[in-house]
Amino acid sequence: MRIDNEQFDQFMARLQSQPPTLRDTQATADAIMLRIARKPKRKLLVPILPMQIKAWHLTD
Amino acid sequence: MEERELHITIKQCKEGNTEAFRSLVMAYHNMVFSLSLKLLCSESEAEDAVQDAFVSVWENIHRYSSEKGKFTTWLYTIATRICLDRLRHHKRTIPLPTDETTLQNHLTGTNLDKNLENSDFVSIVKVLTLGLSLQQQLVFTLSILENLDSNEITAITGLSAEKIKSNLYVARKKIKEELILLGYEN
Repeated sequence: MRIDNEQFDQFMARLQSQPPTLRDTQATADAIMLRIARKPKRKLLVPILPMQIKAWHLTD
Repeated sequence: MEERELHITIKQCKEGNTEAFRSLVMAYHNMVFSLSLKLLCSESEAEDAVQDAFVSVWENIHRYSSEKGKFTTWLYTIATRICLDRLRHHKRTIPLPTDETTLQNHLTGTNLDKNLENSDFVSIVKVLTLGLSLQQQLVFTLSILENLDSNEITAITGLSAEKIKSNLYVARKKIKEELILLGYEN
């Protein structure tokens, strides 16, 4: 069997043009979302206002 | 995803918006899977690598800035590191005669018009990259299979342009030698 440079390059171009794809994209996305839900970002989503701090202090 | 939409989505992700992050995952998971499958040569390992890559994106999205470069380059960098880490801890699988047959059918034989399945990719890449070092395999995958330019490969791997060029030269040479061993003339 013979393979020349052009044939080799065409084959590589074919590998480029038909990339592999995930079988179950929804399941993969769900698994990722589940994992990030278990590891929430360390971020204070609700800012604490000075008034609230004062109120907590008064209840002590 | 278009540039403007991507910019808004990343901003929302930085604010902790998980729905925005889901759309980011849906837009780019195939890109990460494609790279992971070609590097890891295992569909299940590649699926796990996709998950790990996006969890890392979520945890580090605050570090990303478009001023530093393209989002896809940053994503490729994360995915590459995860795949290399997995490759360092696993033995490389040796291609079987059936893998060689798959390559033969897609290269010169009966499957020229047939779409490539994921399992075909695994077989083909396993045979082609058998004699390559990890660095050569990485450069070959990013350059030839993913069609990235030298600047982007430098950003992803940290390798200089000269190093990329030399790795690519050796990789192509070794792949052709591998094909000759399989019975192809050059």
